[in-house]
Order: sequence, then structure tokens, then C-alpha cells
Amino acid sequence: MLGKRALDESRLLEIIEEVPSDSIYYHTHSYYLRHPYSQGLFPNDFASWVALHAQDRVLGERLGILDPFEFENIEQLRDEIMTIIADHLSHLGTIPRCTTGEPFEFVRSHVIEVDLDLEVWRLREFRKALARVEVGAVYNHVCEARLRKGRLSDDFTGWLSAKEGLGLPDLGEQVVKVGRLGLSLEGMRERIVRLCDRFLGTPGSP
Amino acid sequence: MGSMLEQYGEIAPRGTVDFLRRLAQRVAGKRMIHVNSTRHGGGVAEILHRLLPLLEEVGVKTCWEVMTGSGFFYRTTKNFHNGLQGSKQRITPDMYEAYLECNRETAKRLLNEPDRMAALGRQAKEYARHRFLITRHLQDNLALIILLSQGAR
Repeated sequence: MLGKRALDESRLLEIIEEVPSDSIYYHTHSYYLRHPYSQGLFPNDFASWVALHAQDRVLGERLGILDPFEFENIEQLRDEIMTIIADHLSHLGTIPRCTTGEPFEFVRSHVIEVDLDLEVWRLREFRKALARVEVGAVYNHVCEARLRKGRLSDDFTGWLSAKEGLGLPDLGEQVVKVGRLGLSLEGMRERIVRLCDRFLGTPGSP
Repeated sequence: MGSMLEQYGEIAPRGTVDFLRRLAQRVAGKRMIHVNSTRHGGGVAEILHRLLPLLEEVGVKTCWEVMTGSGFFYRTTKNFHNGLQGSKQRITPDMYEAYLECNRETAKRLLNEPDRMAALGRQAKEYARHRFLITRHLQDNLALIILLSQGAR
């Protein structure tokens, strides 16, 4: 915990401007990792707090539609969040504040990648491994990969589509859409497994 | 009945137990000492009663030591705790010294060979580094090492 907390939206904006980028990351990107089964009202901590604790549903809605993985880097996301909040506050006479709820506590975290020593070479193996692997792997290869590789691809799509991979661009095209459906991590896992099952049912699948 | 970790596999999220075993491969054979203030009561003791057998199961050698301190020491560590949770705290030099003193005494007891520490002279620093497991009190442990090696000259 950074020891910084906000009780109103103006202070929230100030602190968002100054906290390290991995705090912004924690409260946006890693929300998915912290809620793998279902998401709350909004898919990031800022939107949830302003809506539930500062009782400002309008700002909650505006912040809630942000997809953090659509930004090329965290600083761009930070700028967008600040722009939304500043614009919203400029139209208000009083600053929404938390009166009965909890203050917003800023946290930072570090993401550590761990090699699982799991290699797959065929679609059937991929499907089996994906169905059993710890859900953080789904986050790393679907969500986090978009930060590493740009908005257009995730690790699974890249491997499924590439000639050096499985050479299944049709499947890859369907898998890449899964990351944008607003599903939880477990929801993404289930959807991709079902897509693989459909392809495995096709004669001649690798 | 399977191992304790396997029993968690029946209720833990998919892949979690496998993931823990893979993580454990990186620390297999390591030794870890846990030091807290009581074996009974309190959240830490409750956690350690379960956590240490699990760590043993994944190949980490553990032991559990208890340190005892004055009421002043415990008030100081409570302030550390609250400060780490984000609340502003005031730590006076006396409080810090009480904390260091308790750590020194505990370290001497854990190392169990204070006379050897003195006899090692300039090597005491290296000896303490190898024997004393550094947890989150890195700065304090370094101060302790310096103090012990000063005493050994």
C-alpha cells in the first residue's frame, strides 16, 4: 500500500497524477487478475470507487468503459483517466466525496512471470493444457500479451494463426475476439476451450 | 488421504496446486526461519501452523522461532505495522533502539554461538550473513551485523 488515500474525486485526481505507473496498472489491468470469475459493477477500481463510495454513477460509467488493454502504455491510460475525471469535475459545482463508504487506498504491485514448463505442439494438447492451467496464465497470454505485443494480438492468437505455429488463422481470428468481449478470465478460458473443441471436431484438425 | 496440498486441490481454483508445485521447484532445498512473538493466538501463529507444513511439503526446510520482547518493543512493532498499512506513525529513537535491542538479543540466541561470534573477529560479519535469514528487516539486520562485528574486535 502506498499510504495514499482519497476521500473525494479531486484528491483522487491529484493522486492518480503522482502515483507510480504500477499503481495505475494494479487498479486497472490487474483488476482482471484479482477477479478471475466475475467482474464487479465496473472492471476497474477507479470506476467502482467513484460509483459506489463517492456515489457518482456518471463518472463511474465514464471510467467503467475504459479497456486498459487498448492503450499502448500505462501513461496513456493514466492521461485518459485524468482527462475524464478533470472534465467531469469541471462541470460540477461540488466535488463528490465519500461520506459513508471507504476511502480509495492506492496500491502498487509487481507482476512476476513464471515459466510453467508446459509446452504444447498440437491443438488437442493446447486445449487440454488451457483447460487445466492456473488462470493467471490466461491473463498473461491473453490480456498482458496485448500490452507487450500491441492491441492486435495475444499470444494464443499469434501461435494459432502463424505458419510456424498451428497455421489456423480462422481459429486465431475467433480467439482474438474473445479478449475483447468483457469476459472474466475464467469466461475467456471457457470460450477459447469451446472454440478449440469446435475445431477439433473438424476432420483433419492438427 | 493425499498430502495436505493435494487436499486443497479439491477446492482450490483450477491449476493452483500445480502452479504452487512449479513455483516450489525454484526454492526446493532452501531453508526458511520464521520469527514471530508467539506460537499461540494471533493471526501469524494461526497462519504458520498451517503454512509451515505446506512449505515442508514443497521442499522448503522450515523452522519456527519465537522472540520475546518488552511491552515497549511490542508497542513499537505495532506502530511499524500500522505505518506499513498506510497510517502515519511516530517512531522515536528510543522506540527504534528498543526494537533493535530485542532483535540483537534474539539474533544472538538464534545464532546460538555468541562466543564463537566474538572469536571469529572480522569474519563475524560473513558468519552472521550466512546464518541469519534476512526477512523484511534488512536495514536492522545489517545494523545488527555491524554491531556484532564491532563487539567481536
